[in-house]
Amino acid sequence: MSRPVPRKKVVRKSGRVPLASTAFRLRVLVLAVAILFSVAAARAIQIQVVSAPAMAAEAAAKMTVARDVPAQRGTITGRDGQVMALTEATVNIIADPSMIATNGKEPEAMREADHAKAAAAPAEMAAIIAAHTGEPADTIEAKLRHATTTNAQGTSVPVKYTILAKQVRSSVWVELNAALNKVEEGPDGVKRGGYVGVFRESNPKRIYPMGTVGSNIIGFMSEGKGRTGLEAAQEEALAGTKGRERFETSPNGRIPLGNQTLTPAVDGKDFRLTIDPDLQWMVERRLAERVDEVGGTWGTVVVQDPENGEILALANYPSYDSNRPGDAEPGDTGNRAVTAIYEPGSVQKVLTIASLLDAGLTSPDKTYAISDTVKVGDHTVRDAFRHDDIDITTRGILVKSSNIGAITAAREMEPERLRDYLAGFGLGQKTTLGLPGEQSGSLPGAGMPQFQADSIAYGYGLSATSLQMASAISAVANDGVYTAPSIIKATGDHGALVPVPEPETRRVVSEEAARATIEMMEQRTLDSAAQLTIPGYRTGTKTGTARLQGAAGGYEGQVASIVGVAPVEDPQIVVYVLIARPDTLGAGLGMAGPVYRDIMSLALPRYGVPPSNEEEQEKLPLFKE
Amino acid sequence: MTAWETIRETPRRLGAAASQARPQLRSIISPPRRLSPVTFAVLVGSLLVAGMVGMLVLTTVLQNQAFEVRAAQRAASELGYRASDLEAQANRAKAPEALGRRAVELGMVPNPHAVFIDVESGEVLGQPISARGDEMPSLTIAPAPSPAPGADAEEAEGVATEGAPEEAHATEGAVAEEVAEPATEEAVATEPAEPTEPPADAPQPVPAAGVSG
Repeated sequence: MSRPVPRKKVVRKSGRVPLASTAFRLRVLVLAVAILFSVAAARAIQIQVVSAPAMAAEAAAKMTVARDVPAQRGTITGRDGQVMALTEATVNIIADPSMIATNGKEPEAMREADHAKAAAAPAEMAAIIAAHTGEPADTIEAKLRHATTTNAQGTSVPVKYTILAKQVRSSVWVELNAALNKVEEGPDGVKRGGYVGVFRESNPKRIYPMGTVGSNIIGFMSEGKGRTGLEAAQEEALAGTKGRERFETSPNGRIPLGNQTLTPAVDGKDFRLTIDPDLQWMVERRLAERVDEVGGTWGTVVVQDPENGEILALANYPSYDSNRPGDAEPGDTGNRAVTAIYEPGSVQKVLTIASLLDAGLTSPDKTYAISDTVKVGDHTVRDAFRHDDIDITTRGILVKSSNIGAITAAREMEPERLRDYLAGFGLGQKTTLGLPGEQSGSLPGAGMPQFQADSIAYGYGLSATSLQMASAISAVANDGVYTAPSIIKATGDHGALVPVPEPETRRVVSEEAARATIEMMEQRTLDSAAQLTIPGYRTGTKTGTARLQGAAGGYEGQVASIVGVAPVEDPQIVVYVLIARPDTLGAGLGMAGPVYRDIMSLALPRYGVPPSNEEEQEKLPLFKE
Repeated sequence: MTAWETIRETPRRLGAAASQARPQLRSIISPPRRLSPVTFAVLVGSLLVAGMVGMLVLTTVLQNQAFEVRAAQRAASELGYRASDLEAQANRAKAPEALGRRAVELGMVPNPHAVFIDVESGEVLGQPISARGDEMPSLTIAPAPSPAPGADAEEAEGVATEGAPEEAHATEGAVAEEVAEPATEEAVATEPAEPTEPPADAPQPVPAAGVSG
């Protein structure tokens, strides 16, 4: 019997992997898949649960575009709505030179025709753009050919933005765009046109259609902000508040039903002024002509409605064009009518006499015995007209502009009381037109010495602006009631302007005193009828001449002025003209008189002021016979 | 049997009869209803095609609408530009100096001696004085200079491309040239015979701008 052969035991060597085993391979595959899915699941949990808010926010931020919504700057108009300053929707014409260099295609996708067109396009486009914008064609072509540049790292990068022309009128862009898009077949049979790579971007421009008219009132803008005039003083109200728009985009543009929020812009307020642009223009032209004619250095004119204090014209010369402020001389962009202070001289006598009349200290026919000089402190004051000892009436003091008479008459009033009257007329207090740099001038304090009271009686020792003087005389013309001057008639949203509050008013002198003063001013007109009379109207005037204080102290040159009111029976227009010159030649009547008469002649019929009755006015006594 | 007993017994009898007559019920196994493979494929294919067509239509419509909106926005923008441009041009043309220049071109002269006419009585209020045209030289504006290159080129170019308005302007300029010469003569100022004069039957206060023929 044979012994059974023991079965050979297969011993597997340790560490040997059964790669050929199907089962093993399946196990490995399952394990790998499990690991893969586990990682994916973990990542999903991380994204969906752990970091969900942050990821969502990041995704939203990448999709969301935000941009400002510009606010429309307010418009400034004249009293009847004539536009004096508005914002025009001009555009910058910009180009993408890198796009032009590839004819709008990817470089690798360019065909032979594209290369040919890209090579010729800059010159052809430059010719078209130059014809529309006025920019030099060679400059434009150079910009269009500048398709690459070197950055800080020394790498060549494409130029995608260059400005070809700034603030071009939008109609020019519309026509230029059409010209660039037009395709025409040339005589050589080659099609030209259909150019790519020129765009526009909004860049609104502030324009002043009237140029120099009212430029010292309106001011100008620079770098998006008002720099002078109302543009600067009312910057916040005119500018409005810009809005903000957020929306979701895709490579194809805005997602139609995506999230979008819009905070609308709040447009700036419109301003309607009391200024009459047509009259303003006429006044500016007449003033400029006269200042140049007499060799003056500068001049101002104020035309005011005495009943409501509204400024109808406020002219300066030299002036400037608000559209080209860079061409202006330094100092001419301000408004000397509200910033330049000077001793008003003899026009001031109107206020002195009105005060004395109101206080019951004088009457038109009261006479004062005066000699040829009077001592004021250490100085001796004379009159402009030669005389010995005379008896002059109050009317004569005003008509003949007697300094000695004014001092003599005013000495009957306490200096403090005279000061109070002058303060009531607005002297020494800043006007509130709302223009930058308005000055208050100066008025001596309550405890002033007598010599100072003597000085202010005839217009020295105090200072004022043209606007202050015009408004003070307007108070006399308005039956003794002072009305603060105003230049803004209404303000508010476009089409819904709201009148500004009524200006402050106060009675300074009685109606009787004011009427008597105006009638004395009429005698001044009659005294120089050839130069001052306006046919058909009764007018009252007062001239003045005073030395002008220099910047370094002392006197340098002089100012000649005249104020007129009309018609005397019911004053409705006040015109104040001031011309400064570097020497002491000339006087108020000769220098400023013609400007006053022309302006008043234009203004009276313009505002429907009917002519006065044609009775000839009688000259009344100026001296005691 | 009373009626009551009849009523009571009837259901019982009916039930006994019914139990004897009721057949044996047995379940029937319905054969599974299966679509043929072709039908199923057509169905799925149809659904797929319908979905894709639907998506295509939706996308196309949205794209078209987006294009339309963009085109409309562009048109609105261009029209807004155009309106702004025209508004600016109108305001420039209405400026006092531009009006003064046009008045001079039309042969008008400034009149500083305006008077009133009472419409009812025909009475003249004020002292009528013939305007010579040289009383206020400052109000007489020289005719517009020809557009010069440089700073004004943009403006000149803008006007020049205005088509019809430019033609009108050119025509008016030509008329102005014809009447410019006699404009300073008193005869023209006081005896309005030019076709550009307003009708004489318009009694009203003298033009407020201080300009008359």
